[in-house]
Amino acid sequence: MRLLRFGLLAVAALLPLVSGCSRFEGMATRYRAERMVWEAQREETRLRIGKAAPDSATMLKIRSEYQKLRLTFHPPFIEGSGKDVERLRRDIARQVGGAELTASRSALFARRPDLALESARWVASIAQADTGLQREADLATVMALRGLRRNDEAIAAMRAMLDRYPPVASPTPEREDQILSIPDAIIDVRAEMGDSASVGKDRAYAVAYYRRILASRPPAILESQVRARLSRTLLEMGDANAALAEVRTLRKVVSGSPALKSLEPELLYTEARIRGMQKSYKEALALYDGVLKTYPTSPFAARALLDAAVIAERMNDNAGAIARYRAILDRPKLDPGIAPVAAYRMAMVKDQMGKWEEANQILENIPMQYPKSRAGVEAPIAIVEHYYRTLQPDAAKAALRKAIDTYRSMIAHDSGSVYATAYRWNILRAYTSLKLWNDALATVDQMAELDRGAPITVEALFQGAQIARANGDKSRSDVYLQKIVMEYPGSPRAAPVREFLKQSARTAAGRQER
Amino acid sequence: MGDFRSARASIREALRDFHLREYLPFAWIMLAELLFVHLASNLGKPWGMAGAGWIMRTAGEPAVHYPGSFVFLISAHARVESFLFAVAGSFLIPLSLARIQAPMIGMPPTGPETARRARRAYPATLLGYVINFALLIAWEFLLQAGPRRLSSAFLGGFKADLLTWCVGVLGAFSLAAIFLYVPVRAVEESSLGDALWGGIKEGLRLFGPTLLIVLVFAWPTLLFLAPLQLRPSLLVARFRPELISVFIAIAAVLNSFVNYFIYSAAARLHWLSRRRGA
Repeated sequence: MRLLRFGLLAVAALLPLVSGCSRFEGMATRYRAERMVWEAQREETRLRIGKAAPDSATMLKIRSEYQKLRLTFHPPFIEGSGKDVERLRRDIARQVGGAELTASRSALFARRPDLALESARWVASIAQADTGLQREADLATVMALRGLRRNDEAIAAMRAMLDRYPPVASPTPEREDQILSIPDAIIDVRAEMGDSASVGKDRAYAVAYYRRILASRPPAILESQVRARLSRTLLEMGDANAALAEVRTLRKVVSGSPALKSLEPELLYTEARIRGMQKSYKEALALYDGVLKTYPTSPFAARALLDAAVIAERMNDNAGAIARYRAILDRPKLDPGIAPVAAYRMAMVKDQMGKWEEANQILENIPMQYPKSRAGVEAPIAIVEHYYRTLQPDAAKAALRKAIDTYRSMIAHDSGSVYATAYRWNILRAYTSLKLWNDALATVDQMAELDRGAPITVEALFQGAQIARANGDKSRSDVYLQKIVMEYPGSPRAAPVREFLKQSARTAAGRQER
Repeated sequence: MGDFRSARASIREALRDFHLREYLPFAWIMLAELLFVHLASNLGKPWGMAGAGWIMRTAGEPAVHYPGSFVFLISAHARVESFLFAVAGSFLIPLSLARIQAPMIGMPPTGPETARRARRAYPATLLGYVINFALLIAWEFLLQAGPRRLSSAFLGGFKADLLTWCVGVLGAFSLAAIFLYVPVRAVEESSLGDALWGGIKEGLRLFGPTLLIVLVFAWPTLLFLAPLQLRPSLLVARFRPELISVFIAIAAVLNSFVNYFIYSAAARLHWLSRRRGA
């Protein structure tokens, strides 16, 4: 009995001594960090209950829960050195950094990209040699820069990522290293900026990047993924022959590896697209039908239907086109990228066929059914254009007013939508057409404030300057023009506007001298 | 029938004649278990990690991470408990039994003779425990290979889990009932072979009444063990992971008293059956 008591006392006396060891301290710190992440996740679940889309205040609360880790644990997190301590330090940094990146995402959803950027940059500063965390931090930085509309910086950051992180082969062809999607993301950003000249350059850059990877003889799965992307980009560049060559090489790679069988629908689809580009429409349609018959549940089936419908339109087979658009819209699982395009194009075909009532109904429904789509932006204007084309000015004016209401309700529904700028631009166009100058100028002011950095805002400011000048408000016009020069010095409008302002100043000075 | 009457009388007497000095050896095991649970519930503190982390880690790296550590705590605690019962319990259980039997044979419950009897019983008790433990592992293996598959096929889901668990517990209790008399006999002046084989034989002979004793005392612990062993992940995900250590601590305290009362009642049943035999 005495021995047992002595044993327990010895354990109690030894514990404080052993616990001073930095390894145990590190393990305990990591454990506390994990517990704090768990608490934050639990709180996030609680805050999200009953909210399909949490508001900004909720998102900022969620952010503050995840930020507790950053406020509690400070780099270098634990004292000491050695392999084990370094490993623990990296584990803790991952926990704290991961939580801070979640805080960054929450800030982005709360429409505070400035906070998101600060968080992402902080994580990058603690990531050090941890490539995984560094990569995540860089991705978060890009997202935040996009949120801030600092698109050039976002593109520069994405290009730096391509240089810094070579893609990793995934275990299955369905899963792809995120880094491979960056060249396409750069192209998308450029396209959104309306910078078509740079889109071409970025496509060439993407092609060079993919070819550089292929030159390093990657494993079969990575090779197939890169070749698929390369053929797609070549196709978008209009180089059908080079795309076809890539598809043929890809087919060889796929046939040599049973693990790559899942790539077959994409191969067939790409081949069909190439045939379509080469104007071999019948062959293309047969291949698209092949995709649909052989792989009806593949994500390429909807794309095949859409492309086949477009070809049918080109072949003046309106019934065939409508049947295919209808098939897209009747699919059990709608593709959010394809369905709005199909609906819009179906309306256009019906309009051409003289079935305006049906077309009008489809166009009116698009913004409600697919609010987060380009078709949702274009549909109200398409109605206006129909009435102008058919020389019905009163109906066109009514449609313009309806379009304004539609856009306003869409902004009210989701003010942070990526299409909010396009909605405001279309509202400005509608007011201008209706000659409601004060409303038009108020919209220009809104865009100058809310859509700062967007390329279309330059056009809005320029149009605002013209309206103000035409209405005798020269000072307001000059304010808009100066904004173009000061805030958008790189835009194509900046140089002529600068020249115009100089000339205008010289004329005014000459008048004063006289 | 007479044995069952004796078993009921032993249960009543064990409950009525509770003595702290007889129970204390079990309390030492309980304290060690509670110390481990406390340390394992404080892995966020360096002393907690230093004290329990190395034991938890024997279950794998996830056992020292939150919240997985609480799921692994169930098996880690079972290991610690087994170790304590084998190493310390092989002395402490006979010590408690020697103190229980002391008035029956006209000896003082504390004193050097009682401790000597407990020390002498150590090898037989340890060997009996090791054999019991090995059979328990074999039983678990058989359970997974046979009844578990059958119940999963016919019932599926929670019902199958519950049925398998009940069968498992009944099997474990039956094994415990068979080996219960090894330390009881080892405390008496008998050789290792006589204590071991004689104890097992007595356990088989008094199987029914002994199982009754075990079941009567053990059921409250099962109420806390059932959720831990059947749905530990549910406790972690739906409630709080820390709830697992609370349940384990309650089960450890209850188990300590349960073990004492079972041995106390078994010692009395052994004494009664021996007197009847004489």
